[in-house]
Amino acid sequence: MTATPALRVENLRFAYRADGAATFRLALDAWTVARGERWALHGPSGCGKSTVLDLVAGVLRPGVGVELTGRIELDGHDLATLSESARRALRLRRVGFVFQDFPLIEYLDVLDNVLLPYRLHSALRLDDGVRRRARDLLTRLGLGEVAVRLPAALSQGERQRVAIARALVAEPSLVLADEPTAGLDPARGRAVLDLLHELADERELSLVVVTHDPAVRARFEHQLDVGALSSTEVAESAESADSAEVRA
Amino acid sequence: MTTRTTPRRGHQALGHALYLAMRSLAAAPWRTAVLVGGLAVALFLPLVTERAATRLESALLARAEASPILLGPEGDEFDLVMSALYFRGRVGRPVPWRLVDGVAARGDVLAIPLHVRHTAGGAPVVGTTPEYFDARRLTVAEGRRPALLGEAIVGAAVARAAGLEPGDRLRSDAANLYNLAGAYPLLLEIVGVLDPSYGPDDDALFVDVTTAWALDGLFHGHDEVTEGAVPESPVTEGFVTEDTVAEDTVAEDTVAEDTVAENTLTEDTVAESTFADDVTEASAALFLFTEIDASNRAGFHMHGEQAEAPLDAVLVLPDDRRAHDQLLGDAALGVLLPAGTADAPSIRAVRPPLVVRSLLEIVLRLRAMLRVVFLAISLSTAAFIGLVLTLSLRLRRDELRLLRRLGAGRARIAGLVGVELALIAALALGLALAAALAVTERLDLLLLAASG
Repeated sequence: MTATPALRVENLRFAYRADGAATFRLALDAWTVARGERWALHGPSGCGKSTVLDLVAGVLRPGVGVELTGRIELDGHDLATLSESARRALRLRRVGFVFQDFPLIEYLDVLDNVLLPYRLHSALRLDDGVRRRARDLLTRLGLGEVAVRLPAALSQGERQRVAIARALVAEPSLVLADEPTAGLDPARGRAVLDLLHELADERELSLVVVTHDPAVRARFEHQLDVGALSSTEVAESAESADSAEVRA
Repeated sequence: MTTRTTPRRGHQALGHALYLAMRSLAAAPWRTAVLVGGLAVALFLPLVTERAATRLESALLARAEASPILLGPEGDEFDLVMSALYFRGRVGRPVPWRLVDGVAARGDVLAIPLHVRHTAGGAPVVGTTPEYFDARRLTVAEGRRPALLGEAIVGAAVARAAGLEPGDRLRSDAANLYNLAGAYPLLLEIVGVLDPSYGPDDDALFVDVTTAWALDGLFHGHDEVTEGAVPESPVTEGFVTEDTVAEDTVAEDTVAEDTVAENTLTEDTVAESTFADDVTEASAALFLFTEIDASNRAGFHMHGEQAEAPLDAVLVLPDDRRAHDQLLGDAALGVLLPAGTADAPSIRAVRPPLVVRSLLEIVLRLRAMLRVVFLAISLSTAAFIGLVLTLSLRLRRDELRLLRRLGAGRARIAGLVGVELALIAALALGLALAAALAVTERLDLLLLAASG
C-alpha cells in the first residue's frame, strides 16, 4: 500500500471573472506531490504561481468572481468536503507557509511570532511542549539568542529564518514557499534555499517553492511550469482552455 | 465530548486574543494613550455630572424625607427649610418656645426645637435638645453629648477642619461689632465629637438650647446687680435704656456685639434685660461672664419666661400618618401655638420633602440639558475614535492579511480587533470611573457644604 501523497490535484479548473467574463484561467489536470518530494513552480510574472499555492493550501476558494472546480487533496483530505474552519485547521496542521518578504508581526517578539499560528486557531493547542519545540527550532536556526527580540531589532537574514521557523513549528508535512529568494542577493538567496533543503531532509518534508529564478529552479528535481497552465485570454471557454498533465 | 471541549477552546481563544491585543496596545503606547484618553474624557464628563447630580439629589432628599414637618414663622418656606435642615441662612422672626410645649402636648409627635442664629469658628451653632441626635441618628465618636450650659459637641468636618477634640474651647463668633448693647461671644467647651454623617450635621456645632439662649444674651451670668442702679459710665451713659434693650432682645436678635478680651468678664457694657416686659437695669460696673465654667454656671439665669424664648423652627416627627395629617390641619387652622404673654408670629407648617423636590426640579432640568450636551460630545468623540480606528486598521492591513493567511478566520480576526477595542474601552472606562469617583468625592464635600 503506497503512502498518501502530501498533495494531489485532479481536474483543477480555476478562473477569475469580472463583469461575467473570465480574466484569468488556470487548468491543471493532475499533479501529485509525494512525501519528501521537492517541487519548483515557475513561470513568468503574473502567470498564477502564487495562485496555485493559495489554491492547494485552501486559501483561495470559490466565491464572488472566483470559479473553482476539480479535486484538491491535502494529506488525503478533499478540501471541497471540508468546512472553512476544518480547512483552516488542516492547513495549520499540515501546511507550512513561507511568504514572500518574510512578513512578521512587528509587536510580537521572535518566539511569539513563531508561535503565532497557535494563537489563531483552536485546532492547534499551545502548551509547554510546543513552546519547547519552538525554542529548539529557533536554536537549530541560530536564533536562540534573539528569541525575545522584536523583529525591528533583527537583520534581514534573521527575519527570514524566523518566518521559516513559523512555517515549521506545527510540524507540517508540506511546506509552500512563495518566492523565498525574491529581493535577496544571490548569497542570501542560496542560504535560504540551503536551509529549506536541509530542513526538508531532516524532517522528510514535501517542499513546493515558487520561483521565477532559473538558478533556484535548477536545484529542484521536480518542476511545474505554471505559465503553460494558465492564460489571460478572455474569449476562451473553459472546455477549450489549455490544460496540462504534469507528472514527474 | 464537544460540550466539554468547546468552552475550554473558547477560553483559550479569548486568552490568545487578549494576549495579542495587549501586545499590540503596548507596542503603540501613544496611539493607545490617545484612544484611551479621548474615550475616557468622553465618558468622564457625563459620569461625573450624573453622579454629582444624583448625590446632590439623594443628599438633599434624604435629609428632607427624614424631616417630615417643620414649624416656623410665616414667610419664605425655602428660607425655613434651608435654615432648619441645612443650617444655611436664617428665618425672619423667631417663634416662641411655647410652640414646642404646645406641639409636644399633643402626645403623638416628637417636637425638637432648633435655634440656628450663631456661629463659632465660622460653623453654625445649633441649639436643640438631645432628641435631635437620636432623630438624626448622630452618634458620638469621642467624648459625650453636651449636658451642661456652655458645652458643645462638634460635627466631624468641623472637628477635622479646626482640629477640635474634647477638652478644647471655642469662642462663638461676634455677630455685630457695632451693637454694644447685645450679648458677648461665649467661650464654648467642646465635650464631644460626632461620627461623620456625611450631611450638614458634620459642619455644625450642637449645644443645648439654653446655651443658644446664652449666646443670645437672654440666659446669662454676671456679678452683682444693683437694684435700680443708673449707669454712669461714660461708655454707656445715655446709650443703653430700657427701651432699647427690650427692643434688641425681643424684636431683633439678642447677640453679642463686640470683640471680647481673653478674660472671662467684660466691663464695657452691660445689658440686663428681658425679652418680655421686665425691668431692665444697666450698670457700667456690671461684669457679664463670657465664659461658662463650674464656678459660675449656677449663677446663669434667664429674665422673663422660657415660654417666650426664641427659636427658629420646630422639627416635628409624627408617630404616624394620622398624627402627621392632624398636625398639618391644625397648623392650617392656626391653633398650634398656645396663648402666651408676648406677641408671636403666625405659625406655618412646611413639608420639607415637597420643598426640596420643587428645588430639585431645577437640578433635573439642568441635568436634562447637560445630557443633550454630553450626548453631542460623546457622538463627536465616537466619530473621532472611529476615524482613528479606521485609519489604524488601514495601516495594519498587511498584518491582518498575514493573520488570515496563517489560518485565522474572519471571525477570529474580528475577535482580535474586538478584544483590542474592548481593552481600550475598559481602560477608558476604568480611568473615567476612577476620575469621576475622585472628583465626586471632592464634589460631595462641596455639595454638602453648599447644601448645609
